[in-house]
Amino acid sequence: MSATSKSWVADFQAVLDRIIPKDDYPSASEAGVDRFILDLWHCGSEPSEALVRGGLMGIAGFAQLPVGEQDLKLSTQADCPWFRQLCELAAEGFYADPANGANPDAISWVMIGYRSGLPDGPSGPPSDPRDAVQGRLRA
Amino acid sequence: MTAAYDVIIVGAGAAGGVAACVLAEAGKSVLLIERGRGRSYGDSGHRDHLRNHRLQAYGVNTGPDIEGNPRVFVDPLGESHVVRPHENGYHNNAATVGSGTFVYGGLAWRFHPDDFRMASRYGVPDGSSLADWPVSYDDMAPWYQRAEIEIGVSGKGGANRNEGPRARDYPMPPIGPNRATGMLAQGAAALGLSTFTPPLLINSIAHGGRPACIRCGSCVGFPCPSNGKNGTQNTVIPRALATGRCELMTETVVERVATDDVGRVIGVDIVSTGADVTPVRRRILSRSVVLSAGAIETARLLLLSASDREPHGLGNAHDLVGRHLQGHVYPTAFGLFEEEVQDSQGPGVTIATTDYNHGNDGIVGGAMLADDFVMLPIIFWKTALPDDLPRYGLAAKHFMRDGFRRVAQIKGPVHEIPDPDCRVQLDDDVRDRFGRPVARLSGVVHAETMRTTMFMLEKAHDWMRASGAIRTWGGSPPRRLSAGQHQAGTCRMGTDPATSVTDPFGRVWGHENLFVCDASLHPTNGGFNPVLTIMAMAFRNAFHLSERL
Repeated sequence: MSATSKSWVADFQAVLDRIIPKDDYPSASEAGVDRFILDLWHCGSEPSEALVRGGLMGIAGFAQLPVGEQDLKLSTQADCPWFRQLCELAAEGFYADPANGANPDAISWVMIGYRSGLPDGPSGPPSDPRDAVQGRLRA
Repeated sequence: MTAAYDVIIVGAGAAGGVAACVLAEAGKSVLLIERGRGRSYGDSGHRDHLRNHRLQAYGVNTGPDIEGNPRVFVDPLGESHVVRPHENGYHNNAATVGSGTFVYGGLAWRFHPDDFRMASRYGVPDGSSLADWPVSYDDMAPWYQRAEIEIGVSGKGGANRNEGPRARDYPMPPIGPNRATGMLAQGAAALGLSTFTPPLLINSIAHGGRPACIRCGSCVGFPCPSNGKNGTQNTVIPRALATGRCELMTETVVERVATDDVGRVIGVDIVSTGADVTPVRRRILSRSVVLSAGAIETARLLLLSASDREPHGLGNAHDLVGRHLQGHVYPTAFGLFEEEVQDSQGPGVTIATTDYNHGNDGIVGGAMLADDFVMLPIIFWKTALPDDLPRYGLAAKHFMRDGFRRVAQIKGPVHEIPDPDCRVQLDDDVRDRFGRPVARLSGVVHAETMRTTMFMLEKAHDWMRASGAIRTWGGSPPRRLSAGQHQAGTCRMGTDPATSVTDPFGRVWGHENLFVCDASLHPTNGGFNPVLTIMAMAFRNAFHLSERL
């Protein structure tokens, strides 16, 4: 990984952790949301990588700012398409079932009080490999 | 040429499964063809909250394959989009044995008696194709009863004061309440509304040799962990197979209805589809063909089967096949309560009123209103948050933390006013994996449908406020094409060949042995979830066909 892409990822993770900040429950990156989104982009399931990276370029160095300045900066981005899309993807990782790669032990479901009630645990039975098409894009 | 079967049925969903059972038990030889494969909770019950029939963010859980099965969707501005099964505008139905009944929520409504005579009751609004059904509630009542008993419905007979006459109670008692039920009942009582537990095609007690619902938190959109959700795949299709006279052929697509030199239907042309199988094509002969592929694919198949005698598609001499496509627009009101109202006890639909289905001053029709299935957390995020809530920061996280258990919803399927310009056509350019023109979907719902929607939205908010919600929000989807899992209307039945595609039993005009048997037949689609009506109509029409064959 080059220095440029490293700093891109640092800003990416820092923005995610202000989208879903840590409190008594994990932040976005602590819950694996950064990897969830990178995986979606990597396998071609979701097309917003260029849009989001373009937006992050506009706030390069974000990761180095103090938290208060980070939040101020994000308030200027709130209605930008890249930021709205990233908020949506962050929520998908954070609140979807753990087998999607984030939300370990369905911790967000404990937080909100959602009960799966399934005999096999939060994600139900394993997925059937016959249903996998293009990585995780299923039939 | 010798017919291999008395009947070939295309599509093993709500209607096709019932028709196979009725015909096989009547002694007919039946071939039931399904494009998907047979599935179970064990192999398809995985809870991918981003890929299922309730939220199709990146795929679906029970087919069709997302590659090779595109459609063309024409948006309200007239722009065409090539869409895959999980994408907006596709209007997907599950491709599996049982189809939608394998993953549905199973609301089991009888339509209101006046749902069958909308044109007579209200007149025909300008630009609409509103029509009466060629059958009445009284014609349907015995067949509703068969569906309730033989597929298996829980509920309390007589609890719905607006329902037509019924001869028998449901075979199972209603599913129990959850935390919201009592508050919504009080609110309704304050408004003078009658309420009751909605009937469900779900076992409230062990029934049909299968256990009761275990009240999991992800019912609609997924296969059932206890197999207590009653679809055609675990009721009538096994019965059909048990006769020894019904053969089920899965992962097989019917490419076209086959006709002879004079345009008479002689069977179907099929192609096998399994992922590891080189497509194999062949013709199978039968004495009759029944199309039960859903309102979009049934219409497409008729259009794809053009012959020298019918160059615009079978049954399409009057350019009616594919028109009047409809579904249900759902206005939704959310309410935030001081108390917890969501305890994740599925299925989640616990209270309904039918007082607004008819008799609304100045409004055509109406809708049943009810609370809804337990929402997956990510669906709650995508659909249930107030518009003014930021989607980032602790405000968003804390609304999820504190709000998920304190938000209830009321929604309802608006009885749509059909429009002839909402339609299924064949696309000129786009082909599916077998080289066939795909369905092209276009049109927007009639203006009267939106007027009824806005009226019902206000009623839903009123009910929510009367129930003690400290804040309500939620609206209506924009005016657009409606079809989805409740898709209907594209081969309407009637008594006049000039204004309908089939006779009152689903026989395609101009053919002795070609039938439509699914919601394509519905002249209108009721102010209710339509599946029990689809099943009842299939019992009725298949019985009629068994007497003719």
